[in-house]
Amino acid sequence: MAHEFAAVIGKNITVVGGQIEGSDNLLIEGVVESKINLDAKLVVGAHGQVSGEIEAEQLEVQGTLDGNITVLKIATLSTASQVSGLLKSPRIVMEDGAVFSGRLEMGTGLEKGR
Amino acid sequence: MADASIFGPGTVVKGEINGEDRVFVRGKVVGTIDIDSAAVVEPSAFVKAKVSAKEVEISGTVEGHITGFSKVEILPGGRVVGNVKTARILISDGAVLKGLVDMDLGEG
Repeated sequence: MAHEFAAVIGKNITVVGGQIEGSDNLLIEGVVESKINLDAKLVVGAHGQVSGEIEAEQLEVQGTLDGNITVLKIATLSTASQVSGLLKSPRIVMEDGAVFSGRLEMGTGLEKGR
Repeated sequence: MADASIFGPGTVVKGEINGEDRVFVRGKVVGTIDIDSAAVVEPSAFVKAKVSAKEVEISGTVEGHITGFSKVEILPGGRVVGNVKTARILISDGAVLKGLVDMDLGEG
């Protein structure tokens, strides 16, 4: 399963503080409390617990994520995911069973419609 | 299903829609929708109202706060500007939501 990811933060790894940036797909199964800036896909795995200021091209959440989250293409919140904070993404898919608390901003040109 | 209400594409309702049975909106509603079963906002619909129902299904446009006591589903083409309060939420790719999501209802 991990082969599509060039970078993996495993279950028993904790990263606190600092910044993670790069252009490889990243799978997080551990605990991360950092700023993340990724020109690729970020996956928060079922065991992952991530909080911080997050920017990624694509996002998929199966675990827990909290923070100010900006996604450039598409964010998928899978069943059993728990996400809180501000999530901005042009496209968002939320599956049944996903729990979200906070603010969603999606699509473009919404302000004009008001 | 036979008891469902349908507000057709040419219909404009200004005011309150209250009731027990399913409501399908294909036209325009400005005001309040408060029903005990499902409210379905179809692709041609424009709803500028506070919507509360057991289940809310949206493939049209809603501007206003939505409460879905058991479920809110936003389908492709659905466009919501407003806050959503519900126990379960489903958002399809192609749907748009701008607002706060509060999912505390189902945790009691």
